[in-house]
Amino acid sequence: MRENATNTVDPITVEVIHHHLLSAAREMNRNLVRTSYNTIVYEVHDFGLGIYDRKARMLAEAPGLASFTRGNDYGLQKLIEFLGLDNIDPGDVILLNYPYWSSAHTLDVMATSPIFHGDRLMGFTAVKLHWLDLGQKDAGYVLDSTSIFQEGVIFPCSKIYRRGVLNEELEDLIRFNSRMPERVLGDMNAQISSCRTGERRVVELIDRFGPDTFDGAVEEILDHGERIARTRLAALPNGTWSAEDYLDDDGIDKDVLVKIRATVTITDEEMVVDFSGSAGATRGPINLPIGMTMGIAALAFKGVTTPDTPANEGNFRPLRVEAPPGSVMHALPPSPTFTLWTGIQAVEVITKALAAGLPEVVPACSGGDIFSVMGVGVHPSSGKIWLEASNEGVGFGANAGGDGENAIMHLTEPGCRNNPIEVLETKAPLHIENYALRQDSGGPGEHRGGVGVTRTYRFLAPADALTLVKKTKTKPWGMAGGSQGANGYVVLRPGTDRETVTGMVYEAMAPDDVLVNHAGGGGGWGDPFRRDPESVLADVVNGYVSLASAREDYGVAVDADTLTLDLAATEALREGG
Amino acid sequence: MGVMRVSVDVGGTFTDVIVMDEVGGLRLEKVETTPHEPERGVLEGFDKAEVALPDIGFFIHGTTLGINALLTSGGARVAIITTLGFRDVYELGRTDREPMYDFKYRKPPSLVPRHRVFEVEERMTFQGDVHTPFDRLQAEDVAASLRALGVTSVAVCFLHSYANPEHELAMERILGAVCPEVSVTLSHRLLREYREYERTSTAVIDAYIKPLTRSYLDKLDGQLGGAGFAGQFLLTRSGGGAMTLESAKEHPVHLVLSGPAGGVIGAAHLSDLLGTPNLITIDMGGTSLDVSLIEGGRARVEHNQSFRTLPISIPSLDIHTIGAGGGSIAWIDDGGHLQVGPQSAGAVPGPACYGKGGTEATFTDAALAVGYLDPDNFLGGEIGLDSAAAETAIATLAASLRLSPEETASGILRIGEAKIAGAVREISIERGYHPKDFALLAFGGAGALVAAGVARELGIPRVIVPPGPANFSAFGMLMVDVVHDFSQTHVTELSTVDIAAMNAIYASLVARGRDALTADGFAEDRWQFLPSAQLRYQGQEHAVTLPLAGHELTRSGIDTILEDFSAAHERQYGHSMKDPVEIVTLRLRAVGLLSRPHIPELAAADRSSDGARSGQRAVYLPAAVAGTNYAVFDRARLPRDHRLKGPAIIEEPSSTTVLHAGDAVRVGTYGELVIDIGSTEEETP
Repeated sequence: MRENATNTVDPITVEVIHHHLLSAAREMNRNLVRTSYNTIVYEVHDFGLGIYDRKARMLAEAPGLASFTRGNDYGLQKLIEFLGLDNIDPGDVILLNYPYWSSAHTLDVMATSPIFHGDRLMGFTAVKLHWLDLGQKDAGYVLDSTSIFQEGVIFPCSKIYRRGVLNEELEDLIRFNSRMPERVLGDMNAQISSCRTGERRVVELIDRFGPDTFDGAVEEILDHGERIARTRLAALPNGTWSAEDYLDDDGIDKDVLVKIRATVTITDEEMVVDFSGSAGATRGPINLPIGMTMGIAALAFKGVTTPDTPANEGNFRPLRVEAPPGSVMHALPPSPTFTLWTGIQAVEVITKALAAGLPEVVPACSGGDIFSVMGVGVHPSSGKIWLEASNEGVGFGANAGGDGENAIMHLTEPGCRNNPIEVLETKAPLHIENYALRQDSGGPGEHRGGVGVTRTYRFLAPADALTLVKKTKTKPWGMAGGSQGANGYVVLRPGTDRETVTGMVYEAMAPDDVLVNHAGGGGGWGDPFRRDPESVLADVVNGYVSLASAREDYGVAVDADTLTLDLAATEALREGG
Repeated sequence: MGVMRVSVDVGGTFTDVIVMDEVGGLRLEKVETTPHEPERGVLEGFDKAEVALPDIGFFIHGTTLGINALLTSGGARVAIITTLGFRDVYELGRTDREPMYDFKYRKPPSLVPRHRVFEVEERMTFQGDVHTPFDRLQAEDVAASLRALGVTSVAVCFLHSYANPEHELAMERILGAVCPEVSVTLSHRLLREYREYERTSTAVIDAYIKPLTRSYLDKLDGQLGGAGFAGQFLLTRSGGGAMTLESAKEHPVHLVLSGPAGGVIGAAHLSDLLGTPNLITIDMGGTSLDVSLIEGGRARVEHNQSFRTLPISIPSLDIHTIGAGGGSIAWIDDGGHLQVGPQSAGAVPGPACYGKGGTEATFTDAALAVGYLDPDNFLGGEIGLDSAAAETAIATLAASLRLSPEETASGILRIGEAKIAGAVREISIERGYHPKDFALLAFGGAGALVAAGVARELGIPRVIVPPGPANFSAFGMLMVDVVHDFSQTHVTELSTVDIAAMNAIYASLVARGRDALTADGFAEDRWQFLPSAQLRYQGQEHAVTLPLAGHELTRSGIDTILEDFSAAHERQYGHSMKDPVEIVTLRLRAVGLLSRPHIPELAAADRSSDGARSGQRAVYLPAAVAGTNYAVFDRARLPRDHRLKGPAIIEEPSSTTVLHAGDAVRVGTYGELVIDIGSTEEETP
């Protein structure tokens, strides 16, 4: 067969093949979501997947979460390095969850299957999915590990299928090392089925167009992705800007803030994101594998250059990421990496740096976290283990064009959904006491930050509560003269003598214990005294803003009884301000 | 009562009228839709079709009133009443969003601002027990404040009301006493299923369109009655089938997604008539394309549909819409590649070749430029197409792509077809099917134009184009039965299920079905009950809906259900498990059977084929040599059982069917075109 790297394929055929690849990735996504076995996959969309060429360049992806954008690229490269292309055979499915390679924590297991056309390797599919349990030190989630060896079983590129035959020894190993073997193996099957779907579709495509045309189209699809990214990059101003923010703690040293620092440089040729100046490796499990650091930088880059086009490797050619090895942004073995919250906040540190140079493009800080609450215990009526979780929406940061949205999922996880009250109460011994927007949590500004949300859980039976929250000690920043949003926080057992205000905890709850989760509001944009008084009034009428805040923060007087504007008093307030 | 059957399908631009006489003779008419006075358009349709109202036995109406109100924010001033502590369930929704990289995402404006959401102290448990008693005094205060706010319609959705609706009913009584002029929607009457946001959203949409739907239907009913109409007045429903006037006024949310339902109902009927149980339908119009699956002769029903981002969790025909229509605009992206849609030139200005001011090249312009369409014979010659305008629009794109205009035009069609094929494939795969096991039924103005190409792309062996494809949706509406859907969420493990409790739930669903069908005026011999259950593996979120043999379960019947579930799961998801299976929701569809109209067969050889060939056109396609000649035929003159081979173009006034080299078509019993894709069958005399 002819190898011809300079194949030129007509632009229509390229676009047709591109559509087929995107469609194949969406099929993999649909297959996975509907086959998956745990609620976290279905409701929280905790997965990333894509189709790659033989050089591990991503051609099309359909991740469940934005934070999984490019999430398998580095892992697949390391897998090829480790195994060698000669040791990858048709019909193989390979598992990888060694965090420093797979670029996620141990429970996010990547499965990959090679795509062969005849005996010619054409590419790979890769699906990373959150597994419920791999024998890590604590059920549910690990918040305080101090080394990788407390974080569960590792698959260092292990073949669960060899040439199409199930490796029963590995399957047994998983079964005997998981607290929830049925669900874990069910999810693994879903994942493998998704890989196979992608594999079949790409092979059909190659059958139809021929391997040389396919290869030629792949080059042009990636070059096209690069051209769009470069066009958009060229429209951004050049400069270098830095910003910092802090995680609450590393899970072990509870009183030490952990710094993330990003310096972003934009030239006509590239954008460089440099995390030098961030904290060194931490004792607790918030160290970020370098592949994930690259992934979150890719997400920020995509957001400011090509948010409107499907992602591929070409998009990211003008992006370079630096993070000193051994720092919190570049974990080295055996550093613990379980709690990946560093990535969630790092995305916004990048946008914070960009805010200085691109104030019209990026928004102020959002509520800043995903404010996840998880419960795990034995259900008193069935005697079986239950595990339920819900993430919460945060207020979005306001921007030059308008207000931030109220209470929607963090920008790293747009496809994620909250867990309905009626579903939670049916499945778990929980009673939800309220679910409400937080008045005055949005940062005041000419454009207001979005407001956050509160949910109150009463535990009806003994269970462990986990709160996955790392931004409660610093406030969401405003921009261009806008004010800060209210930070999120968690309250345990309010109104009792054991009341605690906290962030991330792993806590045993007794019957009737209450946990209140407050998700943060977004920062404001622009001087709040320039906000249209009618907009302030509408916010008061709808309860997003209190009368007191309208007066103090916005200089707008609203009559408490009639809920109408007092224009004269407003003018006086604003002149005085 | 008369014997004529009439369907009137009100669309955005045109209202289609189909009159069918007792022997199945059809008359098709189009009148302009009158958005501000829609009942006038309906009556004008009757006039134009020259049908006397006393002669009509059966009138079925498809209305876009509900969806138009949603599209134009023209619905009622709605308030929500909910459980204390849960005011924000509606505004919060599921807190997700579609665009993945949009850091400035805003939700579409809400139908109910937060200040019109009220709380009442009350609470049920998921098992239907009272946790907190209903606070009457508070409820009365809320009812009184609705008046002050000028609310005209209210949606009541209390937590766990699907398990016990007593508090919603108590609220209704109070509203009836305090503000009887306000229209009321109770969430549990629409669905007895868990997920509070989805139930609230469904109730809000119902409340939003209820006052105007009632007023429109009352007006139309009065005017029809005044003109002597004494037949049955039915409306098409989102979930398939029809509903009576009274049901439509009570639960108008069932009208919202009914727009494309007629075609799917017609497809299910045609599937039966032609003995082709598995069909994928594509209904391609000016702005969008609707895809659905008919499996085993039945249209698929889905329970989690939405309007834009707003959930409508009632059973709805499983129809997937993509932005690919005749008006889809071709454009060049920042990386220099050709893209098609989803933006559409719509009806105004429309494709460049319509000559109404459109300058951007669309799918239709490309179809004209490659020679698929005849500029002098579009819509039966009513509209002359401007080839020069299409060519100018395409030349602009061609210049930046450095391709010839012909390559560009055929490229627009290829990319459009690839997108359609992708959507069809994803939908089939998601539901556990492979397209090659289906025939493709193409209708709508543009469906038959792309069907052969899409089928080839997907390995679908056969395409069927029904008679009158552009009017097929209105035709399908004549095939309906009256349908009611009932459901009850009851999460319980199947192997240890309390069969008596389960049967009691089915008995209550059947009782509700009987009441509804009796109220509709159906005698017992016209009743049909179709029970089904939504099942899943414990711990899984997504459920499989399984039809059940009957609504009285037995212990051995449970084993059958388990086996059937396992098989259905295997088919849909590729594997089955040994895990415990649980019931999520029990469902019952109650059907009032109407008599079927007679569909006349095309008389054999009653038309000579000699005159059918009307010429030939050069068509530019990349797969063929440039300028391949396609023989052109007049569909109206093709006799039954006539066969011909591609490449060919078959024209009729409102649609054009294209078949390529290797394809072969046969004219079927009822005049349908049956195209075998890639077949090399010889033309038979």
